[in-house]
Amino acid sequence: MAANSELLMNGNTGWLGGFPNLLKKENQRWWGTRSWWIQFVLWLVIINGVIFAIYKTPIEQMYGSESGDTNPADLEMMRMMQAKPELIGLIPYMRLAGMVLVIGVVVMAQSAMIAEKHSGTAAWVLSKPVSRSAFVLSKVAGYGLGVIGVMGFLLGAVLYGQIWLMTGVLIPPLAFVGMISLMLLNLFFYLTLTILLGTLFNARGAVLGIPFLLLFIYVIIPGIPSWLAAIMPWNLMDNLTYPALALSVVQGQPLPTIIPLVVTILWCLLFTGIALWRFNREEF
Amino acid sequence: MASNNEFVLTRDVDWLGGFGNLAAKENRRWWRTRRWLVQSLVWLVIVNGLVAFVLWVSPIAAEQQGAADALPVGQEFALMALTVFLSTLGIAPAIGVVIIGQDAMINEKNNGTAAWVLSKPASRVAFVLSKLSGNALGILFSMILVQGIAAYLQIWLATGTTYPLLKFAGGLGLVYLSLFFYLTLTIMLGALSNSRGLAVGLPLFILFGYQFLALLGPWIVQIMPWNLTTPLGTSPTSLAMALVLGQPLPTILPLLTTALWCLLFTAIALWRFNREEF
Repeated sequence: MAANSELLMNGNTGWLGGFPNLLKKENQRWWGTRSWWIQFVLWLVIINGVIFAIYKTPIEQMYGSESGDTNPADLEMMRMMQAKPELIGLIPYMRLAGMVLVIGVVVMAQSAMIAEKHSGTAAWVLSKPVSRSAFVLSKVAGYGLGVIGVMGFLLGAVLYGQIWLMTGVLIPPLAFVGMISLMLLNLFFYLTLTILLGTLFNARGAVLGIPFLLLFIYVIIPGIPSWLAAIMPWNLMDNLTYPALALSVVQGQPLPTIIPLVVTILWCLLFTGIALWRFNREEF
Repeated sequence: MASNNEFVLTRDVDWLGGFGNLAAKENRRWWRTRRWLVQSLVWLVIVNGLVAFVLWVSPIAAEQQGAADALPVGQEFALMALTVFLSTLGIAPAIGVVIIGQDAMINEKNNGTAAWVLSKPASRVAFVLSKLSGNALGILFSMILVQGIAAYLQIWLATGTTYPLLKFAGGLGLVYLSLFFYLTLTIMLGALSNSRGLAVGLPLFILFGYQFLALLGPWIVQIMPWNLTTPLGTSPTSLAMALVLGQPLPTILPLLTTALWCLLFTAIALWRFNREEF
């Protein structure tokens, strides 16, 4: 064979072989296209738009005291919001971020594995010197960076400025970052779960349905047992057995419990581990 | 050309041309596969499982905690179970409806089968309507009828209470109308766009975002389907509940507007799909 000065032998075929290239491709899919700013504008309109509308609505109208039938819980909420006007925006934000952003993440991530399996690009990519682990991890990292960048950093910055402009309150930055971090952890739970389901199933129904059911089941079913609330991420952004952990963090209060936080991190690692294990056994 | 005894010339190319065949295909997708069984079982477990929890498990738990006196009994208990059933039936299967609906159009557009089918003597109107009719029938059976019958029996077994069958069916009909709203919305979005995000995200946002959207004003509750299955605004009960109990409907606006929305979504889907270029 004639000496080859064009092609370079690739010795990078370890368990993460090809990861930098695949991650670059995933990042390009976010940041090199309109994806990132479409996501940004969409969530800006939905989340910050709703928060803007809420700030323009009198508190009494929101909690029904004009009709004279405010219940004690609503009265308490009303007093809390009058004392801390930043909560008028933060509490709905936590609920919205805990719901609509999760919907967005699940819908985006559901095609991460399935679209590539169905279209054959997964098989094609894996015929190159890249490892299956690198394939899966590049999805997790690529989508994760996009979520952190757009839903965490950009939307968070807008929210911070919005609350300051509408209330004059400057939330302590560290507390605010802590709240956003918990929100991102919540999103990561559903992101890793959806990617895992994409490796387990070929049908979009299961990949979409299971995360959505998990997301909404505590809303649908009243009286969730406290042990279940402790091992799921619901209490990160919403009030269940304990007040929302994110609410405690942003108010600079000690966390009522760290179990949901720790368990959610463990779930993310477990989902990723199972996805890696399963995808290594996928036959194309 | 030699005489042809095999092929039959079809003149059936009017605005509903091919609907029979396409509807049969959609029905086969439900009834000749496991889909009807899987969907029935999933929603039976989730919806009726919750009803069973309320009827049989929570009294035991309350007794163990010494709070048995706080639980309602007899007809009131049946009413509580009925409330849980109707509100859960209006929400949980809607997730399934949205997922099924987004697949209906977008899948076929993306993998080319829509273009292939439309190269045959089938009209675009028939294509969209067959999607609607096939899925509507499957949803009616696997998400409403099965669960409704099961819930009726559950409540009767646990409390001895029965409701007039016609009124109970009427209540289920309102729940079905609510699900049909999400089906037509999702199919419309699938016809308007190739984005699964839009086809899934917007209906789910409407389904669960009522707690935020209702803040925009009481008028929005009147024009959306939420009040069909969930008590909202000034209504002490949902419309479905009121129908089952034989009470006068607190308002009929949500019923009328939901039906109008369904017609509008269907019309927009037909209009848009007639302009789709493959």
